[in-house]
Amino acid sequence: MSRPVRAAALLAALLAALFAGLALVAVPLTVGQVPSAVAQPLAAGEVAGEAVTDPAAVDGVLARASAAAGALPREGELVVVSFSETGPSISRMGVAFGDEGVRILREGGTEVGRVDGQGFLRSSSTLLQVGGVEQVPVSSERLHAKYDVAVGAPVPLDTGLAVAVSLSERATGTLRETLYADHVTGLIVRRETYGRDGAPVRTVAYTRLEVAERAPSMPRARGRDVQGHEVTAADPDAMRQDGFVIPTSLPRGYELTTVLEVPDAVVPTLHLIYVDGLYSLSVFQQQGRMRSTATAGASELRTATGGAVWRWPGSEPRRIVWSGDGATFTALADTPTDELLDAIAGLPTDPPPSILGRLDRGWSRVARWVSPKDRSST
Amino acid sequence: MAERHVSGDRLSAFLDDELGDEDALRAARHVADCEPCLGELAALRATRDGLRALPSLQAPVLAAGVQARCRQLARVARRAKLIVAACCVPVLIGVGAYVLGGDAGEVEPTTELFLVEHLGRTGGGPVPTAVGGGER
Repeated sequence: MSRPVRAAALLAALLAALFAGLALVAVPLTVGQVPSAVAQPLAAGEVAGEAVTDPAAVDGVLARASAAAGALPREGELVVVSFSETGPSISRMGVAFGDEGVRILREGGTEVGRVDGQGFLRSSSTLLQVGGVEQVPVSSERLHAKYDVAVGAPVPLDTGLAVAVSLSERATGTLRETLYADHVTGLIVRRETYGRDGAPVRTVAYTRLEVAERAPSMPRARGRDVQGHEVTAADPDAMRQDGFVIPTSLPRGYELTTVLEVPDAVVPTLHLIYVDGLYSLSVFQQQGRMRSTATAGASELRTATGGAVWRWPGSEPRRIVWSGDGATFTALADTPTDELLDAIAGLPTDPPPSILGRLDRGWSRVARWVSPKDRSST
Repeated sequence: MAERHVSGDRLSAFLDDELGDEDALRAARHVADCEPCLGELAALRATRDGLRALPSLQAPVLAAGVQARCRQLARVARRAKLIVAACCVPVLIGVGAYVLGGDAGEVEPTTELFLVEHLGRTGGGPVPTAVGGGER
């Protein structure tokens, strides 16, 4: 059995077992009243049938989904199945959208969200609050510039019909994502992400979703030590003069849209946001080389340029850290890992750690200390 | 009654003026009154004087060889010291560079802050946000 077929079969078995268990406790749903969960995984080939590739039709589906996401208070349960070299990782979480913002309560107690322009993360020990957090707008122009999009006929899911929207990368013809928009409300209730080899790399699906006048309150995780940060817009040119690397675009069609700084961070820190129309890629840049212990538990990967980066298997959003040109980078995105590695190749990456590299670093430090010019600049 | 005889070692020390004042005085008194000890002292003195009167002997051939060998060994030792020092310097410099090239005091990514920032700005849109896997 080939890897894609085996992975698809495993995904189907996992989700079937998951949904079978949830069906025992789920509230009965009615089409027309509540956009429902999905039940059976759909193979990419089943999406099409009467596929429509008219950009206007596609935009209509996506615009309706975007409008519904911003207008409908809702609450539900989301399952994330992430595939990696160490096997599938399954996470469940409660999700609530309402007037106050979005809140995601992870199984185990950690809660993340955005309320009135303030992001937060609450765990049993910490409440982290970040001010000045606004959502990045979505651009359909970028989407159509990179992807071929097709809308299939409505397909029956367990609790209702959903329209499948497939997005294929035009340059390679590879299917990267299939979105399922609820036929009644327009909300996207399921997404499937594929790697370059066609194998599924992630599935995100609502197993329960209810629309209400107001989003029901969710149990909040308790936090004790409060940490506050404020994030502000930054001038890219000024930041470049301060030593930050800020490319206006990255490989595979990622364009820079936002430059932010965290003024009260321990070391000068910048947040760059790149988008390709479908995915958003956050690149955090901290001045200073990364501590080697920061990669504990992570797997070492290589970029196309040979740079060494590290990723934690199963982490969603996908998180990659690395050092390059004296800075520490952290990339967060929901892109497939292969695409993420291609994109970050447009940023500085150091070669893999070695004894010679460490010796060279030591020499460089001595040279900086000895040279008055270098010393004054550090 | 005469004191006990002075031992040969003490007589030799007396002869070489190596006894303390009190011991030397006691020995002198005894030897003055003791024929055997006086005789032994005289014999010791004669032996010492005889030895001192012997001409000094040299072994010219052996000394030259040994001295040449010693000089050669000294040169080798100096050369070895230089070689060891020459080897130690780069090793010490390398160890120093390796230590200085370590990670002390460098940057730790603030994961939680980054996660909140990323999700706050990119999550909550039309496409369901993927959050999962390990905490790190």
